[in-house]
Amino acid sequence: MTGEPGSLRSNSKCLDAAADRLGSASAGARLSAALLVGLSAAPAWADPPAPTEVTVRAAPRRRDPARVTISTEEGRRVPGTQGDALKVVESLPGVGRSAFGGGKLVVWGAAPSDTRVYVDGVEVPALYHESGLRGTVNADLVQSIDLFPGAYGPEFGRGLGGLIRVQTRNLPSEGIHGYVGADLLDASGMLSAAVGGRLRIAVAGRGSYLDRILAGVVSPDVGDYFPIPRYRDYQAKAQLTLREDEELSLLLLGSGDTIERAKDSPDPATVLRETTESGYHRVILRYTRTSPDGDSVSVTPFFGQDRRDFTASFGPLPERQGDTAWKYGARASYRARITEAITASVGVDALGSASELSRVGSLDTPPRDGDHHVFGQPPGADVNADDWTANIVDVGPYALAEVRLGPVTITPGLRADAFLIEGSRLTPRVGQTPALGFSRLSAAIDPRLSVSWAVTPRITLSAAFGLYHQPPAPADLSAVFGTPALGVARGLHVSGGQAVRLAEGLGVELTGYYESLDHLVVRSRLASPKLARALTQDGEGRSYGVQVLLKKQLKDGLLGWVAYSASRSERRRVGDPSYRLSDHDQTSVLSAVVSYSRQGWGAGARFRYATGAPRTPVVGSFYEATNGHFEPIFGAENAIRLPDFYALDLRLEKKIPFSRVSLDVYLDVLNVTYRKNAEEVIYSFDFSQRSYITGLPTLAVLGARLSF
Amino acid sequence: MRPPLLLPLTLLAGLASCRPELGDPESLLQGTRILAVRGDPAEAAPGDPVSYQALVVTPEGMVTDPALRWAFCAAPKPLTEDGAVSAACLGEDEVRPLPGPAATLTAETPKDACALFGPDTPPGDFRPRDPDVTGGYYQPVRVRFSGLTAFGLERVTCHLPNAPVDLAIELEERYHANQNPTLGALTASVDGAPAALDHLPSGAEVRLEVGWTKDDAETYPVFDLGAQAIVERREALRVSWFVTAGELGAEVTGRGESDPETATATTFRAPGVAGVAHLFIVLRDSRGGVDFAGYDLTIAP
Repeated sequence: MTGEPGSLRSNSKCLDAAADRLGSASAGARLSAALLVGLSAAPAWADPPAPTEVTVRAAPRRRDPARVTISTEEGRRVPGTQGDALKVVESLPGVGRSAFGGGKLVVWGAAPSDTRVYVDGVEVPALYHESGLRGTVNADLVQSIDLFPGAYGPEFGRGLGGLIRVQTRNLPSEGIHGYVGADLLDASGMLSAAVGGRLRIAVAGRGSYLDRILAGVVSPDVGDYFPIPRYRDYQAKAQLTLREDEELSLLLLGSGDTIERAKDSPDPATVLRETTESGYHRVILRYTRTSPDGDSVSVTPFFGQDRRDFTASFGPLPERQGDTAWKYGARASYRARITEAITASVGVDALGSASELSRVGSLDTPPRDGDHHVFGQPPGADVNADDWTANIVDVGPYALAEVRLGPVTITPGLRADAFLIEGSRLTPRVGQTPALGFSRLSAAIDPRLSVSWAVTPRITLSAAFGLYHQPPAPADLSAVFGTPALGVARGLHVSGGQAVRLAEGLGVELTGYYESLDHLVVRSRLASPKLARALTQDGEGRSYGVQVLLKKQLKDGLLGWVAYSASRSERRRVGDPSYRLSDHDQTSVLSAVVSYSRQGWGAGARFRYATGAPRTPVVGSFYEATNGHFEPIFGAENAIRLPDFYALDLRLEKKIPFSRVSLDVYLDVLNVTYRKNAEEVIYSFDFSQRSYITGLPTLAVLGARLSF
Repeated sequence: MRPPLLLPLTLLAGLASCRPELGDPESLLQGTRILAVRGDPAEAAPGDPVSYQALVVTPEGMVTDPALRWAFCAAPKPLTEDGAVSAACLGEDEVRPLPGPAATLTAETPKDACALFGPDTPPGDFRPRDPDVTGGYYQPVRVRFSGLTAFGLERVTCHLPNAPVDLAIELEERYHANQNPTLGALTASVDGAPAALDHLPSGAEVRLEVGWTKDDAETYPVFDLGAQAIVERREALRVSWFVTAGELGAEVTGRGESDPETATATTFRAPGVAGVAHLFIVLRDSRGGVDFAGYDLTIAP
């Protein structure tokens, strides 16, 4: 089979699953999806072929430059993921390396908070648990992971950075399936069952116990420097087939993290207590209808809650940041073939966020891009407090068309966001004086365009651009710590690339990109800003680079890729004569992955290299004699870097089939060369000497899972 | 012996030891240092005179009558800096030099101290500066000596901003300016037995204890910004220990706000050879009050 336009007969359910992977309901896209799926191994309990066959007319699939799709089966083979397919994102092109234990995603140099994660079209706050050790969605419920580093279509918005889209799997239509698994980090399990002929359900859960294991084998002061994470997550999914082409599904997602750190000291000013509780819940209802001619309707209302509570005390200095946000919204789309050459989609992407926030502590914490700070230093001594609420509602109708002109596919799109931004206080609280709130509406028109040209059956050129707008974070709308008047920030993405199919299942993609950002939220440089103007939107940024992906898709047990990105991410303030490096700049990032399995045995290796992240050097110090400590004198912003990172990870696995079950045993060894990678700069008490905190030594994770 | 399976976890726990040691401890004096700056009184209103002195030491002992160059910092720190003092006050453009050089100095607290470093804002809706956790604002006082720079923070009595009038009045009525704490006598013991400072056994682990009076841990009212109410707090007291030879167990010890004890102790590993080690102690309270003292510890053979 090829991806050329034409007619063929295929299995509709397989196509549905494949189309889900690509997030497209068009027949053409579903066909292409099916072609891709053909290169991926399905899990043991995947749907058997259904007897129904339909005829579909195929169109070339839309091609987004730099987009990478990884199936769960591919992802879980990657060394260093411990079988968690979501962690494969760290090894994809355009994704920078985040510090060990951070779990943040740096995509094309964007701040992690600017990159959005969607599960079945619904935004969730985190792809990974706080520790970065695991994804927040059970990989066995995941069909595929799409990474859009930038310049994506109008179906998504509200973010200046990249986009990660997780598609959940269609549940098996027969029997009872599932697994139980455990390794040194956590235990997890999943159970799915087909109830009657129309209803399929699944539940899954995971809980960590790393903290309890470590407590038994290491000294109690481990947590002084490495907060031991505790995490848990749950998922439940039900799929009800209403009619042959109509389905209703319900997805429940939840994730929770607890990180505690405590350090006693004879000095009351350095006694440390720190607790972070975070998590999210989502209830996602989805109705889909796909007609035989390829038209489709999808409606996805959802509801949920995000929560993050940080409580700390650094000696007498209090730090509390609480943020509970109720999330609600809906996504709806209708896609139809207008002519043989034109497919059109219209939809709406609506998200509301009602946040209750509270904060006590220093204005300077946490540091923002451009702030002068040294890792590990206590927050500033000045304190303040605020309680506020913020409602941000965004309704983003969009439309796009896929126009096929022979070998050229043009996908123009337009998204129009209306941001309603409300807050409870324009000015800081004074006693019982009634609060004066605010409410304003901002509109954003975001044109998007992607063009792909199949120059030959093996070579495709593509280009895309888009305008993107991002509303302010509710936490930045404080009248004390932020600025209630903040508006939306803006980004322009341009990318272009070339994809070459070298052989069956082997291809190389080269992509270049440029991003321009403005109206970024930064801290005021003034010593005495106006009231309720601690933050400004004077920030500007740009990112540019090239990336190349050479990928051997999973076939005959062999999977592998080499991804290299060369990029530069810079920031400045309006009026600054020059740019500086952003906190997330990484000049070079290289990931090389290979995995091979045969006769039940599997082995793989992953090599990662990344340029060290920038840091602002300390060039001197003075003594603050009243509190008795040295304070740093900073040099040029982000003028030095952490040493380069590299690590080699290995994976060995063995699948042992029994009559009704299958046992998988694996050993994942991270950083086998015991490379002492620097994670942060630290200084002597007077800042006269500099060294590094090194991260993960060698970590071997042994695990097993029993599937049935 | 730990099971082999747990070896990886032990390696993971090795993160705890991934923080390298960086040079000598802060408490070991190997060069000239300014260890403390004391204003008397510890808190003053704008325009009030304050006498300043500094504790300057070398490995040979306390520097008597150091020729210190004094200046008031005149630049509040921007929001992008999280230190106590603006980097601008390291230069000469943003400071107000004071007469000197002088070991001690009496100067009038700048009349605009509450505007520059406190909550007073110019006409127009400007953001008042945030107080510290004790409700205090501070005038930085720069001291320079022999290439070293230190800042003392003189607590300034300012009005309470953005608070209900009744609470502002109540706070002014109840509030008493901070007083410098006073160090008590230093005592030493070895294995629980009292030891004389002029005859400490070489190589011995000596327990050093110093105290203060009960009144030194003052209670004071502070406006709680979160609760929008006046709450009572009590000062914590901290002692920084410095030696020119030997090794200290804890470099800073003290008592927290809720700890009623009036003494604190550390351990001192006496050098293995006879001689004199200089010991310096700096007592600090939560609101910027300071006292200091120096002792000669004679190590017997």
